[in-house]
Amino acid sequence: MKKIFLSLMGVLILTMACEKGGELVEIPSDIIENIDEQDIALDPQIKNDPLPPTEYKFTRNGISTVFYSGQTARLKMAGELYLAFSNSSKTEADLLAMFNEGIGFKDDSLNTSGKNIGSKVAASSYASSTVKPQIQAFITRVVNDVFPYYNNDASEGVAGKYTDPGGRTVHIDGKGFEMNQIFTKSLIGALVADQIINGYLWRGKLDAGSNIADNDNLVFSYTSPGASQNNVTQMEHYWDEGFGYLYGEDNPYSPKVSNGVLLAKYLGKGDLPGLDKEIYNAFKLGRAAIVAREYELKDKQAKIIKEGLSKVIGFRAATYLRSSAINIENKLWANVFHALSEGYGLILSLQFTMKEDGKPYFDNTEVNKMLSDLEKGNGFWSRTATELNAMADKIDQVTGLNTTGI
Amino acid sequence: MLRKNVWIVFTFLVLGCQVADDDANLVPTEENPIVNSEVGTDQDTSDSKKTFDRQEMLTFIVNQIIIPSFNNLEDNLGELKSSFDLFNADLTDENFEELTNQWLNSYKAWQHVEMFNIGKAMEEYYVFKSNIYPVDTVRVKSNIESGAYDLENPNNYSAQGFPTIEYLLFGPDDDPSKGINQLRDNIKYRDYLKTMIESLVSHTKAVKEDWVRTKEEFVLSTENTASSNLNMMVNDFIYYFEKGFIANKFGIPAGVFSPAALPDRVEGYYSKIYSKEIAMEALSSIKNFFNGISVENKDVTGPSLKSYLNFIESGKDHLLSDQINEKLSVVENSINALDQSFVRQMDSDLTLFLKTYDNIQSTVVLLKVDMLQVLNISVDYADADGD
Repeated sequence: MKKIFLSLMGVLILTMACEKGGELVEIPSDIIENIDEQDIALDPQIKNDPLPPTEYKFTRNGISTVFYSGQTARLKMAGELYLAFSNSSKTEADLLAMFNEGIGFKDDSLNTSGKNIGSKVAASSYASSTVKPQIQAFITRVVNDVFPYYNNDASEGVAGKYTDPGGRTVHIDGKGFEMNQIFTKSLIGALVADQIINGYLWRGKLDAGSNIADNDNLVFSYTSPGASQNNVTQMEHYWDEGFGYLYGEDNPYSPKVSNGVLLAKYLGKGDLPGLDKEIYNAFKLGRAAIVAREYELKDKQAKIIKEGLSKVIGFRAATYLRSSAINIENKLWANVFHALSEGYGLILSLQFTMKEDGKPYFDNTEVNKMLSDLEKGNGFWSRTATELNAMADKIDQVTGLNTTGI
Repeated sequence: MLRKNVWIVFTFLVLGCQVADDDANLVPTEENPIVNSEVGTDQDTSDSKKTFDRQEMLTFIVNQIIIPSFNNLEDNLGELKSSFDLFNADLTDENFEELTNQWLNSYKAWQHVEMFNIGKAMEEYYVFKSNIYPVDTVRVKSNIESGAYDLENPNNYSAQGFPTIEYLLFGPDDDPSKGINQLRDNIKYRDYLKTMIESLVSHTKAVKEDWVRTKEEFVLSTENTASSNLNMMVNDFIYYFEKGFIANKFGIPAGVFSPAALPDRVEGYYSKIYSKEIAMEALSSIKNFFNGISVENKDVTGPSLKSYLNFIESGKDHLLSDQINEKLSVVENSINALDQSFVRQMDSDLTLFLKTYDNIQSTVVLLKVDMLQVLNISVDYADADGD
């Protein structure tokens, strides 16, 4: 069935592509219905490409070749670490063990996964090696500067908890830093974006060594679950691992993402309508292109994914600054601390993005300048709406997105 | 099965309407897939192979860089051996100082040959036997005590070579008199030191003689295949840059691959103040190799990776070789700004050390990805860091 369906799909596509030739082949209507109409009206960037498969489903001899359990494990670890950052009974050693050794999680399957987050933070060839110590220091900071004062009353320069009238409560250090947000939002860039953009979907990795020749000649490097011998090429698996860093906690057969605490959650919020679908299509088409040995097409899809994911980070970084500016004016400081903490992590993440010219929106030095500007004086307590809007404008200017009026 | 089906789809997709008009042979099969002509094929070197003389480049590298570097190292190790004999006969402070000076000179000379882990050097595990650090001090001590050890045993690679000599000379802790006292008081320590030096001398001699003996044949192997000497040497160069240079000298001690910095992993740990000097020497060997600068005479240059790149990129505004050399200058300035002791540097300002690492790392991308793409040479090693 599947074979016939796919072959017919090929005919259909051929037909569509040949409209100008005038000769139309009649296609049964149920087949046409199987092709999502939205795919036909794709973004102009990709409309000249072939249609992607309907699902991220790839098999060899009937066995799925797609697996990315290591990525799923790390995404879940990030989720538990996020909660642990709000658990003032945790010690620095507890959190460091979770981060670096991948142990101490409630979900025991994580403890035995052999994976950890620490070794994958800012680990790509393009990442600054200063970022991992920077993020690890957030652990020290929450344990030393937030946990001991967890239920004290916070005020400018004084750590503790702060509650808006009838609203949000945050637990912050003396600078208003809500460390669970800062840590987690930093991982959106330093873990997820860096691994996908600068790691698995980077040509230097996908095409490294003999990967192209091996993929051409079906030289397999991995054994997928259910297979008895190697049945996945290096390039295929790298692509799947990149996919896993985004979709690892969601249904791989749907463009809808939302689970977890990292990039998928924010892509799923739909800030940029249709982007989730565009990225899913590019992942599917890129993977199919690898199977079909169409490496240029693969690279083109990788670029769509990288630029698309970057937009999610760029958009959110700017909008959190803007919403903080509004909350400053409304004197809702708990909201300010929360949103600015999210913004801080997303600004840190900006160095792991990639725009059309292949460069990040902001490099490590530029990002650190913005972060130190946010931390000046008494940190978030000292910020003004004007400053934050100016910073958001600067980000918009580079991303080309317009977040004013959000 | 699905794979074939996807192909069928793709055939239509890629060929579009032309499928009917074009050669029917274009339909892919397992054995004869359609490969985009611009991907994975020899784009630029088919012509350049005829015109850029790869053999001339190899000849220059072997005669003007590799063999003179081995000669230098051999001479320095000869001096090291003589200074040891002098000290062994007369255990004075002056003779000891001369011995440590000769250790440093020969260690610096070593930095110019480490990248050539090819042929005899590879067969004999020459690099492993010469420069593995950190030193396995427990093993060194037990070797010294027992007097019975096999230096060919891989477990003993970290108990010999330049780092072990350094350990014996400078001693394990902050007391600088520890090394000399131990050597003065204990003939077993002197015997081990002697064996270490002699072993480096004999390995170096064997590798150098092999270069001299095989060089004419070696330079003939210039085809663009994974097993050609040219491709292997280019790969060795990049591998050295990535592992021997960046990872070992900077990344590992800086804690890039571990939860925290590991200062005891620096090169030159026991002598304390030479890490920077040694790293700068290694950088100069990298520049010489890339730019084709003769080791015998710095004013003499010859065909090199730089000229090869420039040949292929002739007419381009932004030459990759210029970008690489600019990066190498940034790296040089960055290393120069560090404390002469890397341990002290990491202690006072780890971030500065990490930024140096970043600068070097960004050069890797230019060499390993961009340069190899231009030269159309495949990487013969890969980091298996997938899950």
